[in-house]
Amino acid sequence: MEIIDAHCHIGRGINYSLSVYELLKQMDEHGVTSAVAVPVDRFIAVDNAEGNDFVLEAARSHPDRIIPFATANPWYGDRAVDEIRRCFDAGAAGLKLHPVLQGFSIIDRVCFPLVEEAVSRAKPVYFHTGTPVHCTPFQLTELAMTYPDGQFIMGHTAYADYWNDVSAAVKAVTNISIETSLHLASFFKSLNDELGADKIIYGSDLPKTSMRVEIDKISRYIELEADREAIFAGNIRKLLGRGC
Amino acid sequence: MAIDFHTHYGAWGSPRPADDTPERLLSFLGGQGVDGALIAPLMGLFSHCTDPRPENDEIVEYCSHAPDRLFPSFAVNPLFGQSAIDEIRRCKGEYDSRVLKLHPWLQGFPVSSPEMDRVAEVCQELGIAILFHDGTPVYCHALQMARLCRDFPGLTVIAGHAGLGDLAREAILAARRYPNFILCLCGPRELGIAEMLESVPPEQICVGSDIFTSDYNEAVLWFRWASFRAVEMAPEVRHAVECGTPRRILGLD
Repeated sequence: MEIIDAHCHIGRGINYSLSVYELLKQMDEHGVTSAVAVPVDRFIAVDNAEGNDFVLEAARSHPDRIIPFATANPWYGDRAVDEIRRCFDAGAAGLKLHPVLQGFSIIDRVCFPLVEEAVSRAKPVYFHTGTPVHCTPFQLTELAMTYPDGQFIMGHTAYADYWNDVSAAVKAVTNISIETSLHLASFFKSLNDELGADKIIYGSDLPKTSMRVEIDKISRYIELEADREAIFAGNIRKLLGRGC
Repeated sequence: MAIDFHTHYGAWGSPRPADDTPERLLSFLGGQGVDGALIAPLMGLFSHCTDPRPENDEIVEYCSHAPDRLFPSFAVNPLFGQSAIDEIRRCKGEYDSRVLKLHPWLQGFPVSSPEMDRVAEVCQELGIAILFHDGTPVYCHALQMARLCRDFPGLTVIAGHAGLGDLAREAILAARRYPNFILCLCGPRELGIAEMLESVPPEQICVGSDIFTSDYNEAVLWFRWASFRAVEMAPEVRHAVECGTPRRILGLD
């Protein structure tokens, strides 16, 4: 079965690091065909271009394996928009935003220009979610309502204690998908029944988690093969406009 | 003997079914290489629970069928004042209870409060450890709970989720500051777990799943223990975390 990992970090960071070699090695070990890569911690917060260039170069070197997402700190204003445009032009397939590391709220207008740029280019926007008070499920719903033509990914499915909100927040709109890293296997089992497999996207958050465990929690507990295929590859393919 | 130090009695929002038996629970735990469990209340952790005693008693009876492998915990709500203190003394006197479970979020009380301090003082006096839900702002920060370790140095405080995903670093700082602050690995990423194993003595670390005994939810039990066991560690560290720390807190050694 094809597996696309929708969320990995590469680069040399302060709190965590992962080389391109190590990412590819882990992908090979666990049968992952391709992976969405984003920069690591400090390059999400500052020095965005340096982090984005590392990811873009990795994707150029391994075009069949690495799918680049770009990030920019919205507080840089026009410079951030310019940076995202540059990355999209260079092949970035989506936008990653991190309200904690970048210091804003999902509903803060400061991030709107970046979101608008992604929406205008039909690129999905991945938000880190789950950390109070800046990135909650209903804040993402509010943004998704504001930009109904956008496609948004609820990173980590708002791990941990917003689990009560997730289902209602996703059901309120048609343009939010949830990404599986960190959260309990049982949670996705129930969300698969409640929301349908087409809303769920597998991601590992490597190197902060075990890719093996993150894959196993889907393989073991999502019963239907068709659902697993959608979660592991089909849904992110659709968002990336790479098929279907 | 691997002990799951964070489980709950019954099922969320419904009565405990008849097929929830100690024998079946032990078999279920054994399927993931877990030999025993600390069982904490569930209904007693909700703010509308006015009398935690029936559930506290039921858990003791449940565990009595496997006294070497199932260990009862109990609940009170600190906001109930003297009746909470009376229940703590009753559980110690009648059952020699060793672990009190508190959930500041669900029970609606702040850790930094005179009511909590009264409970902490009595638990320190009686040698009862407190297992907290933690990792959920605003009332469940590790450093809020660690303050109790400073003010009540004879008290053992257990962070039941070791900071969950967002407050793992805070939990590590608390454990490094206070030797009587214990991390129950039940929520941090593998990277956070590895950092805890590197920077906190294994004698201050245990593992929990947060399963409900009635659910037999393998997806939860497997995920928590697989996350812990995915992290490389020396066999003696693993033994200390899975077995040594729980046994010491339970007074089994």
